[in-house]
Amino acid sequence: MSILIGALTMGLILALLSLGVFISFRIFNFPDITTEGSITLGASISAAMIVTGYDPWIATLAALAGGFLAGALTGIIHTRFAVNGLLSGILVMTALYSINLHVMGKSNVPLMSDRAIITGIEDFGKSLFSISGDVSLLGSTVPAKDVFILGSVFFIVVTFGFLLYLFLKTDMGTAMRATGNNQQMIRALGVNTNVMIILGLAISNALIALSGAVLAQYQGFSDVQMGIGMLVLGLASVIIGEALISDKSLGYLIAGAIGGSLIFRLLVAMALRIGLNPNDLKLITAVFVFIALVLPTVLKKYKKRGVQSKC
Amino acid sequence: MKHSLTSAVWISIRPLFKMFVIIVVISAGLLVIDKISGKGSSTRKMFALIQFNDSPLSELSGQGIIDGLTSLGLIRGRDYDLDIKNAQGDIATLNLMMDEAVSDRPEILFISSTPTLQAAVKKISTLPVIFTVVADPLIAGAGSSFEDHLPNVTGISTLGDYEGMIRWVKIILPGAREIGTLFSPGESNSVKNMNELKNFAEKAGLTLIAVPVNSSQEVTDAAFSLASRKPDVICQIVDNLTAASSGSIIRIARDQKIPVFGFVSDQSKAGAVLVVSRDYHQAGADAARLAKRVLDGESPAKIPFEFVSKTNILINPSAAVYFRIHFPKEIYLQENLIITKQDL
Repeated sequence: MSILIGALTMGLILALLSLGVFISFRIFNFPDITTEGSITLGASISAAMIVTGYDPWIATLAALAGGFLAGALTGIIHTRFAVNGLLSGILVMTALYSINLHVMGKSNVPLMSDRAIITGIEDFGKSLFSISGDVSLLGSTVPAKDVFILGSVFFIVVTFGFLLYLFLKTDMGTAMRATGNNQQMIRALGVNTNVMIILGLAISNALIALSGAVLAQYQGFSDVQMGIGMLVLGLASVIIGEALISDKSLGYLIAGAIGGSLIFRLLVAMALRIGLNPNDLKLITAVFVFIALVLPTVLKKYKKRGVQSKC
Repeated sequence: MKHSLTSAVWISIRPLFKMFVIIVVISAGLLVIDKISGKGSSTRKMFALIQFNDSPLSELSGQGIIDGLTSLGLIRGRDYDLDIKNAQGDIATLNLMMDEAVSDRPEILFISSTPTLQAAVKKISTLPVIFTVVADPLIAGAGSSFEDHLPNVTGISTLGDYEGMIRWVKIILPGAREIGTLFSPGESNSVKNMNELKNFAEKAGLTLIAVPVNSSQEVTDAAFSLASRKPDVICQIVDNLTAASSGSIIRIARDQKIPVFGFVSDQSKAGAVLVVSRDYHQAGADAARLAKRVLDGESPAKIPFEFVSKTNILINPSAAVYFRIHFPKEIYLQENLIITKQDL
């Protein structure tokens, strides 16, 4: 049971990452590699502040702000200096490596006994339901705190998913989505596309940094190398989610990004649990993503054939 | 009215239905697999080893654990099963592996490397955890001192023998004033190692020139930069980044006539004159010894952390000849001396 709860919790924490990647990859059509720096930035800022004694909630908000600035910087480099999007991301990601080292003062900050939003929620949950220790779920006992953490992370993800939906439905959000679809058209309508791109990337990286902050508090440390490979994880989640929803309108796409992250983590957990050689893990990851990419096309072809044969 | 409301809700969630079903199905599948594979064999003990990434250190220590258990009379496959997991450097996977360990409940959970220990410290409170190949378990949050630590955690620290290294530098190169090393600020173990070396160097009146490197492409440039500052000897510390390129560091230093001393046995073959190496295989065997004590009923809380019990001295005579270095007699009297026969 605890492996399921662990996988779901991790999936939800990384769902914030996939929401961020969804904005850059699906709205602006480029994979923003700032991700790998900003997730670590979020983790570093929150860990460093919690260790120095700040309230964990303030530390998490600061992490969010840090990600916002990092994303804005990528956007500014991309739009004002006309640097290719991928390259501007690489630039900021590279710079963030040093910045993260400075933020933490060293390469790794443990958060063992310090308070975190996670422990806050845990205490709150325990006092609310007046349980402590283990709870029984579907016939197996699990530590109550794991269940509370899962619940609270779910709450955080749903809140931010909903806020993102509301934002993208506003006039400004609509203009932002249109910027990704057709820059010339939306510019003709008098929208400053540069501002849209900067703001969009800022929001994207704010979400990613939030994911990093929650991740650091969940796993109990922040490490300067923890961002490596995160963009691919985010892309995989977005793609898997997209493949599995039948209606591609905004709300469903956002839900898809969250669900994709959950499915991805569950699949990895399953592959590991079956006793797969861990050396093959990255290979399996690639296979999952490949299947998610190809499946919709294959299904479509299959359906078409089915229709033809009926005729 | 009620009917139209439910149908409206249904229409609005229908596009997500497939995804929802898949999540539920995989979750259920995971639970079933977890139940089935959690049982394991009843006659044999079950141990697990979790590693963070693939490196010679993790391989050597893993083999050391198995050999160590064998020498204590526990044969893999007969007396115990060892489930080796490697997170391939992925932190999310590492956390998942800890969850697996919680449901598998192995009798001993072996841990190698610092990030793995950190994840274990956070997630595992009921299983006995025995770590190895961790430079500083206190930084990783496993305790406040080698004696006073988390009740379920104990293990072997593999912090390099910096004191020994500096002693050898003073013996072999009495005229040395400055020593150098590359280090990787991104790795907490590297920073720790560098500071330890600096500490002992300063105590002995030596100055340490430490040049930072942040990526594997930078190693060559940094090595040139270090060599151009002409330290009397380069004592290259261990970290994941420079370990992979120690060959090129040694080559660059050799061209500038600067001898290299090292802390990992492979450096000797690559041309390091002297290597003072913690034996990582022994680190695994030492962890196995602690595991046996836990299996015999001792509480991990009562077992202090230990340094790895064996340090090897490796010398490379042909490299010494090249740098006109004469080894003093006492080095040949060392118990764990290994002479590397490899021409430059």
